[in-house]
Amino acid sequence: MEKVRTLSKALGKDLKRNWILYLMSLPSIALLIIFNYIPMMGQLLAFKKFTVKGGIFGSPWNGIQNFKFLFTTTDAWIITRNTVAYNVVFIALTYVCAIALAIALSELRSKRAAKVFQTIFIMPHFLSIAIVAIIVYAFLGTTNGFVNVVRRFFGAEKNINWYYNVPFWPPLLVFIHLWKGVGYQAVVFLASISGISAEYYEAAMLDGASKMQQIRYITLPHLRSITTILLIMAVGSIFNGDFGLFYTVTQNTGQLYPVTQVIDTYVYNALINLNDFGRSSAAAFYQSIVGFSLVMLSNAVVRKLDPDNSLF
Amino acid sequence: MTKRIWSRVLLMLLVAALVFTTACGGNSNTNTTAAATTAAAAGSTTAAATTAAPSDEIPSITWVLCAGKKTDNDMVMEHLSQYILEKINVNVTINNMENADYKEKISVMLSTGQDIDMVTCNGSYGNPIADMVKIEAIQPVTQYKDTLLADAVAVLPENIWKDATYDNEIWGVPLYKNRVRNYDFIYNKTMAEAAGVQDQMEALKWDWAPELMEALYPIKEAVDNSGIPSAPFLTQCWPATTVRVFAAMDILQGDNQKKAYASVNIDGEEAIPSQEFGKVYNLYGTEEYLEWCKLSWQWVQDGLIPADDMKNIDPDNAFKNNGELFAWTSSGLTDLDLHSVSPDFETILIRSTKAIGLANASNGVYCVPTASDNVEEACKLMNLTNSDSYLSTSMRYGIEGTHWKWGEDGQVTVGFEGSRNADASNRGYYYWYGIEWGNLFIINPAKESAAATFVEDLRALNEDGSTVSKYYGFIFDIAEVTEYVGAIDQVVAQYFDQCGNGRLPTVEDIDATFDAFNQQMEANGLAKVIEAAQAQLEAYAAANNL
Repeated sequence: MEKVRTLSKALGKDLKRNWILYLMSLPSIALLIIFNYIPMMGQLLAFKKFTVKGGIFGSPWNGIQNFKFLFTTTDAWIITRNTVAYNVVFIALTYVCAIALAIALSELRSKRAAKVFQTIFIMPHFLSIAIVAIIVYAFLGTTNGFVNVVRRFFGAEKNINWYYNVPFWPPLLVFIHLWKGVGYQAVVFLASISGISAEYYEAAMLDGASKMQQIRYITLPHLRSITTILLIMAVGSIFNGDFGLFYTVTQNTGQLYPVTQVIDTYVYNALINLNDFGRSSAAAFYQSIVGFSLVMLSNAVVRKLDPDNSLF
Repeated sequence: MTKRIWSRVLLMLLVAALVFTTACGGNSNTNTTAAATTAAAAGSTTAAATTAAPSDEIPSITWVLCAGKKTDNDMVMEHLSQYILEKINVNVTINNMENADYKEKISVMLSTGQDIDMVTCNGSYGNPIADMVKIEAIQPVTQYKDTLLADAVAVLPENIWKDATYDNEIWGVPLYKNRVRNYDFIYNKTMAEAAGVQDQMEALKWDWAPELMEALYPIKEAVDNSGIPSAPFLTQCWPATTVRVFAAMDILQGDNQKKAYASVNIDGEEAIPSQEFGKVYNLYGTEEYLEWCKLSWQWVQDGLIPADDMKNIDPDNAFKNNGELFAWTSSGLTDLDLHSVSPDFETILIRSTKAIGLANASNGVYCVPTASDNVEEACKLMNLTNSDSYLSTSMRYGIEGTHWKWGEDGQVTVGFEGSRNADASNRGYYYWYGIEWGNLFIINPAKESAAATFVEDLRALNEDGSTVSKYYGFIFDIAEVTEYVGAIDQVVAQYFDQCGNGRLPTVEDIDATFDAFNQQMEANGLAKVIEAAQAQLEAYAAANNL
């Protein structure tokens, strides 16, 4: 009782002293609660046989039957492989390219040039994926696509149906993802690089360090912290596919499914005509649980190896 | 330090509790998932609602359909709302969505209890009535059949109510259009005359697509030799996805070409010869289907049909509208005006002699969502759209005097001369057939689209000129095999176009793809689906003494 009284007293004091900070954080907290925590109740649908009359709470329980769906298909391995493999490649390449780009931008002497290049590289991030799909189609369309038009100009007799050309798509999708995402990530790293004290570089130059050595021994170590945090968070979504990329850009072409079907697109395609919200919730729940477990695991690993850089 | 952290945590929890209790206020059906948020946003952004001035005494309802908008959509919706208000004293807000939008969003809109009073349930829209009944998304109207729906009952044939019947209840009013599947071949007569093949075209008669395509070879050669400017000779053959043109069979999951892995032959008709009557089979595994795929491939190689989707070659139908396309395919038509496409050239329709009755609830039903509190008003509206000739005509052709005028034949036909529909390439408001608008058999046909006898011709075709499947009314309940159906649908999506659209590099590739297609379906539980369908079909047959 004494402890509670002391605690509330301390809380009261803190509130009085920092009320403005609490007030400022109120909208963010409200947003977080309304759009992130309250919707968690919808996870119940994963265990229910949803009916409109019953709603989330009144629908009958269905145990774990809804989870069977995702593992019934013989493509379970393929969609999981595609989802994880693409995400691993996306994460690895995006961070390497973003860091390289950030370092390159930071080395530009002209501030104006740096701003121009930064704008150019970040612009694709703001393009809707539907627009990207149209651009890709403008290049790869069978009859009127730019590539086939050029080929015909140089004497090719038959058009290539790129949307049936399976091996072509994994590198293309990786390229599109990088094109869209690297600029935005580079800005984050650029902000960190800007925070590195110039004295380090001056001291290094005095010691005769080359540019590459400066990058290797000063810039990269300073980026370790932000990179680790971003990586841990990225690992959390390793089981989530980029729906827009894999559905819209590929035009949901069936022939490409072996290399473009990910968990999200599979669930959408399979369930859009089955009106089964329980099963689609089960798939989302499965992705969330796996993502959460991976975040906890990777953070635990980082905490063991480098406690200062762990997320929590 | 610890006290400070704890005090802050306690404060945040207090705020969370306050917000939580506020957000949770409301009825037990409040749905707080992200889907609901998305669906609400989707519903509101696609609404192009027009309404008569609301009144406190007159009930208001919302009708959502997917006829797709025309240029004068708002003007006509307002006119229709006013007419409906005068007729049944109900304010109707007509939310006319684009077809693709409707298919994507309607299930979520219904499931999240949005404020809608009348919708269309249709297998090809992804919301067949069987599924909607299972998730209790729609409510029965059986009790109103002889009262509020009496006029519709009087004009609609008795047997089509099977489309709206499930579990011994009536779930709405079926959309009465053609109840048969007949296929049409339409060609440019002006081009045929210029190429010197009009005599051959006039003599053309056909039952099934393969014999039609065979007859087109010498005609294509003549057209090519005549030096007429190139465009594809013919659009896809229905395209090759429409397997129904090949033989008479029923797809047990509605009129969905990609669900033919559970099919039955139609008694009394030429059917898939390798399969027994009364037995459920996988059409995609038959020799006949393999032959069809190879035929399609050959037609592409021979230039009869294009090696790409027409929507890619001619997305705006410019070839067709400019008279550069020799022929194209359609379905469901009985007649066509000579200048249906353009005043600059003539078109002729040659219908297949075969008209096969559809077997099951696939053509759409007007339904009342569970969330609606206005079921009686919705029934009055359903009754009106299916029995009022002027409304049915206006829903398709627009406003009298503005978009159409009465013909000089005692108000049998209408015409578009001098109206906002006069220019065939740029009509203000026009739907031909317009399944979404209900009973087609009470319209006054437009002379620019069809003969004055259109309604009688179509009725004769539907009711006397077709083979009706004995399983008409059967609905395959996929509840026990849903996982397998979902998985097989994905396999079909992967292989269907490859096999059937003629674009694989070699004919040997078709054999390999065909084998892989069927192996995948088998591995994903096809046998279980067929077994379930067979059991249900036999039970239906026994219950109906078939």
